[in-house]
Amino acid sequence: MLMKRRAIEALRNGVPNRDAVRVLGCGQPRIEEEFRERLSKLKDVGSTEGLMIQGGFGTGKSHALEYLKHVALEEGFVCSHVVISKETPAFDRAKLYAAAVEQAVMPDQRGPLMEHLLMKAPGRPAYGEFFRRVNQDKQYLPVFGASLWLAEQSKQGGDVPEMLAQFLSGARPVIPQYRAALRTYGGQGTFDLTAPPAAELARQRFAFGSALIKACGYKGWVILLDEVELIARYSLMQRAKSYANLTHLLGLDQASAEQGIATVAAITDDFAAYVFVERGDRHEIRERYAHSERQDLSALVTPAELAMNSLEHRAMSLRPLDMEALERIAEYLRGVYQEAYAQAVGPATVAAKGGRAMRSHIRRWIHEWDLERLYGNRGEAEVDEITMDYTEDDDLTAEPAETP
Amino acid sequence: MTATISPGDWLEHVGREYLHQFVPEGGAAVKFVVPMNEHTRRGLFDGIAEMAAARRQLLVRIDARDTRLYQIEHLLFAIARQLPWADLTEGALRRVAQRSGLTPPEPGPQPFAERLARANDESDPAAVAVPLRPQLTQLVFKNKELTRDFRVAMLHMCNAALVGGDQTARLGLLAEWLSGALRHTSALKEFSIQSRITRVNARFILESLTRWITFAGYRGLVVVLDLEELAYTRRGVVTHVKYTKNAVLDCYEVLRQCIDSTDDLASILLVAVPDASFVDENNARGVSAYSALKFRVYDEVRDRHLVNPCASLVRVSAA
Repeated sequence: MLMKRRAIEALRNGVPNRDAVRVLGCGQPRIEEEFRERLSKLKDVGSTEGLMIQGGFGTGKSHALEYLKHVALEEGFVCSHVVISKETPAFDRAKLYAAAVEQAVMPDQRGPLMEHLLMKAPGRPAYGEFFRRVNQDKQYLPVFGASLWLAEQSKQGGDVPEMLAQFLSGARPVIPQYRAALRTYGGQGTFDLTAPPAAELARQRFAFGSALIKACGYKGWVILLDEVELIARYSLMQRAKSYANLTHLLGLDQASAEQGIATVAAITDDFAAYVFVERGDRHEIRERYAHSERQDLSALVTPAELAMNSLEHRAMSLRPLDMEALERIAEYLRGVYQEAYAQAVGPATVAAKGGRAMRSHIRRWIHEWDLERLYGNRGEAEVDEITMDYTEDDDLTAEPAETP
Repeated sequence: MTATISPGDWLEHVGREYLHQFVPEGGAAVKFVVPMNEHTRRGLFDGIAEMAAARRQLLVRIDARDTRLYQIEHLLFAIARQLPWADLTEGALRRVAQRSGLTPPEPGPQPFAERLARANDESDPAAVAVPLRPQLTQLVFKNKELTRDFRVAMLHMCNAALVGGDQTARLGLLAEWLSGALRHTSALKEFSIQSRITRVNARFILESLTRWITFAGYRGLVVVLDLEELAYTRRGVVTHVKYTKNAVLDCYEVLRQCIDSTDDLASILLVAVPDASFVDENNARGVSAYSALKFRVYDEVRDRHLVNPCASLVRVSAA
């Protein structure tokens, strides 16, 4: 009964949670099948291209992502459900990484990811091989190798693990602290440590993180990006950076495909029409930045266009629900509601009004059952449907009120 | 004019729908209750406090003027500061004692082991504590529902309360860690606690804390957030936390995260009480300012006359 109550509470907020997904399932077999194929490929080959899903506002994208999260966890992957927001802007790769680490859920543990990996890792056979690769092959910036080396040396307690967990969770490394720690353990001179370039650090973070996750015995790292349509509210440059980051996370180009993560990005289905075509990102980005003297801007164009192409032509659409499906879900949910509250309620009002989002239907049904249960009367519901606003908004891209 | 509900009616519904069974059994919910006038606002806080006290639920009231609610770790710190850690530790030890087949002792100033010995007709407190330790390890240290650093801290608290004496200072130190007051992380070394509490681990500590409260015998936690201050643009120097527009949005993001985390939280009701202007759609600091929060709480489905007291956002008026 508690699980069903929790599911109803989540659906009342329009936010699917674990319990809501358990009771309602996913209802998107094609998407699930594609996702499972990605997981298999990531497990077997170590890399895969990501997946894009699209649907109208409130039609069940977040619900689908939550479902996929549990599929991934059951398969032994670490999974991060990242909601694009003011705190996690899509144009900032470092913040995307930090959010992915912060939101990471392990299949067997609750707790901060990197702290757990640093404790779990040493001693595992796969970790030893990873350790050698990082320190001998110089595939990563020296600070990554130094982090692993220090983790080995200081197995428990002290400031060193906190410093390492903070860095691996996305904080900038404090090089003097690293040098002092290396001296403490007799490792001075072992690593050529200098402040790493921010862009290169951000570029390597996901690859290193996923390799560490695999070295600790998990099958890999799955990133679920939600509310990606928020990109529409950024400035043109921020949008270009966001698209480039999507290419990176979705593995749409060769270099990105090898970083060992499986990403699913969810976006509204009118985004492409409104932002690429009507607002003109398709040609504006190339026009504005392709010949920029700033190399960091001109380098954005190709990955940005890759992402725009993929979003426009390769995103999988959520299967729309017909009346029959809607009625079936309504009746099923009524059963869940009745069990949750141990009280009978009448059948849901399944409005035939076209275009209403699933979210609105569900909220209306729960609202009417609540009134029936509490007052014996369903009242007269009015629906004031919330719509997506795509206008640019500087407030969403302001730095946090206090940067730690 | 949107329908409102009286504070008494809302309190009655919330008590029955959430505090009576759902929260004690492990449920978690976030509710926005908007008092439409000042008189209603004052009565609401008292009413919630009475409900929680009547049900043996811990109540924490946090004012946005005093706590930087735009940072989740500060929300956690403010909660931790108001919790009765000695009572929680006592409650946890009582539970462990019961599981060990011992009669839990009466409350008192002596160390738990001494009182436990007396309650079980044992002369030697050290001997009576022996069967407790494996249970402490099993129920606390190995409890995977609690994040590692938190269960280590609770184990230390329990051990300190068990023997008392100079160990009691450790209780204070750990409470400081939980409430963000610990200045030097070197003090954590002796406890094998990995790190300070930051935004990276605050959420996990909060999840663990809500579980610990019921483990210790309480029937859940009620957190009331007074968000009135978010409505105001303050100029110049103020003596309390100032909320720029940016800080307001960051605060809404924290609340959004709390709503999305309800399936990881347990036994908690978080009641956010904003200013009446929160529901004014033209208000630059209201619910419409941050779409992610609005999508989750705004009453897009409502009745012309009846207020659903279970809704995510409820307008309350004593008039």
